[in-house]
Amino acid sequence: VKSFDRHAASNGPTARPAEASYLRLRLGQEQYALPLADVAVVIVREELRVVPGSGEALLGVVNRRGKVLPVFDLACALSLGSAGATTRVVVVEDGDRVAGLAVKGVSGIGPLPTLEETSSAVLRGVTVVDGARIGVLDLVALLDELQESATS
Amino acid sequence: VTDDGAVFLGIFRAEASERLDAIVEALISVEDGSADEDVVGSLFRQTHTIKGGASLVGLDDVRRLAHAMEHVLHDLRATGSPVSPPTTATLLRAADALREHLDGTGQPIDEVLAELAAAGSHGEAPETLVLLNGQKGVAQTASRSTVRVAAAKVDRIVELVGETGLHRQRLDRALAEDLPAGASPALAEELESGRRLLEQLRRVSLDMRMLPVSSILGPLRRAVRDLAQSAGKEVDLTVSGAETELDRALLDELSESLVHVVRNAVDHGIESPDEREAAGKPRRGLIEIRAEPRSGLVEVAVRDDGRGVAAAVVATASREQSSLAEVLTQPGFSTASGVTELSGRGVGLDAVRRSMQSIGGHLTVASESGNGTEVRLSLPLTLALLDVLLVERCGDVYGVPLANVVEAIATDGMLTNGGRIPLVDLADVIGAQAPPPPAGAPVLVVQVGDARAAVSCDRLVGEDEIVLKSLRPMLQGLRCYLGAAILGDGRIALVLDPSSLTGRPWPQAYPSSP
Repeated sequence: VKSFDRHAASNGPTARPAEASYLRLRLGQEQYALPLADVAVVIVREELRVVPGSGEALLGVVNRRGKVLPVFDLACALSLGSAGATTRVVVVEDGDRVAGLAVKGVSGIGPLPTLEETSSAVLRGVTVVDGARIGVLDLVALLDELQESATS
Repeated sequence: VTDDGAVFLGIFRAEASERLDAIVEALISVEDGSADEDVVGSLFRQTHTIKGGASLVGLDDVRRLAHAMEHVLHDLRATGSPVSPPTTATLLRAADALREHLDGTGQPIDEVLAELAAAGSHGEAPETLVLLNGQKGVAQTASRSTVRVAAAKVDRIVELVGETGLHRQRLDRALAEDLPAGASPALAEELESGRRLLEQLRRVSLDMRMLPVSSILGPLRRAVRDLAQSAGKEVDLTVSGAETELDRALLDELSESLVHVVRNAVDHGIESPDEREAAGKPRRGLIEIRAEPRSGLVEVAVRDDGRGVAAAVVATASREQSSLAEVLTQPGFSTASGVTELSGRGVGLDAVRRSMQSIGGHLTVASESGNGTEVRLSLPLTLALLDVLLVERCGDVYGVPLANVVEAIATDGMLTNGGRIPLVDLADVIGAQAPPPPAGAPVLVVQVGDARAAVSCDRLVGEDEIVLKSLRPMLQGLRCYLGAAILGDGRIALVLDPSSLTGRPWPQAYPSSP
């Protein structure tokens, strides 16, 4: 998947994602997914303006359509260590909280098998596809964590 | 409800809410004896208008409340009798109930209606209605000259004006590249008139965001009245400079801060009537609010004639060489010093200090033990479009609000003033890792209130007018930035909170001269 725009997609006559669709993300060795409803758009990672004094999860800010978008290293926020080179930024929205999540790449859009519960605060649950575990992110909890981590 | 119905309802709610503010303010003026001669007439007209609107939009409880208030006022007007304190209190309670019903959170109104019925003698619907209908025509003509617009639309216009300014900068740059010999006289003239029009547009659009300080005073008068009553104190509130205008967004911050400050003044500053009399003061305490524009900023001072901050606290401040505001806003200050009277003051003031800092303003406190306290809030007129000085450090651009820059010097020649101004490296203040700036690097002198600091950076880029983009809510924890701006060349400048530059402790003190 090269790029994806929910607003553009929903305007198309045929391209209407199913109710419980997920965007699958690659972060190093790990696989994660976000409910498609939480994702505004996936953009190519551009050069970022570093914000001194912020926590290490905040990679910087970028000018997106005249607004200042904070971009976070998702792997770092999930304590996986830095994912290294990230190529895509998944823009997520929760009301007026808008953030970019830098990832290695996105690997697909589609439904997922039933989720199992997990103890992680930022995950809604986990599931297994083709023998690989996929953690489904809880956007509200994740943004809470990122908001907190921006300062430390 | 049709779309039109929803729109009318919204307009009615907004208008009725403003009228309620005016009603509450007028009732409080009756209570403290400062009411106009025609106060009953004006209260009557306000409630009458609310009643009319409520029946149009079908808010029946609102209509019934307004109608009952109107009756009481009608009788008062007919007999020409003054409004007694119990009647004023009843009308205030009715106004509260009315507001709750406007917001859709109302309780059953029978009790209030009964109270209103007891306050006034019931008669037939007032005859003056006919006359009022005649006046209503006048009022409607007047209201047609103002238009209600959603605040978000105004914000969008200001934003677009800012973007247009950026576009203009890019256009000028492209033209200069394409026409190295300069534009033709005709083109140059058109460009110049475009620049003038844009400047006018900028001023007019910013002006639309401005509201007078008076627009936030209604709730404040109410807060003073309620707080004083529940504390058994007598307090007058006077306001000057209420016509001073401020950006709507900043007015919200100011409003919250003023409530904190005024609450402190009533709770902890003003003494009980007996105590005041014993100290040779008038029984009624006085809180004065003064707002005035001051060189690109607005200063709002709240002064009370109460007992003032304890002498021990003032002594602590001077011993620690900190300002009174710093001591009073230290977390845990109140408990540590054991001055229970000040506990509220400390907690509330800390919130005020943080609120002011988040908008590039600041707080100072002066107090004379036994004679009162003055809290001064100083805040920018607007943050929508901001004049900044752009500087570079470690290859990145930063903006400093121009209102806080005393001077910018390209050499270190000025650093001979005896070392009284601390010299700080911009990189240290914001927590960037960088080798120190070279000798002779430019220095800005930044001032916030009485505090100054000399800040060194790599390069002065120049002045610019920027559209401030908020970093909230995701990055609101980053205290040293007011926001960010997108520059004409597409780069992002981080705009520094000036008080983070002058704040203590200094990362690196300037060595005093030998």
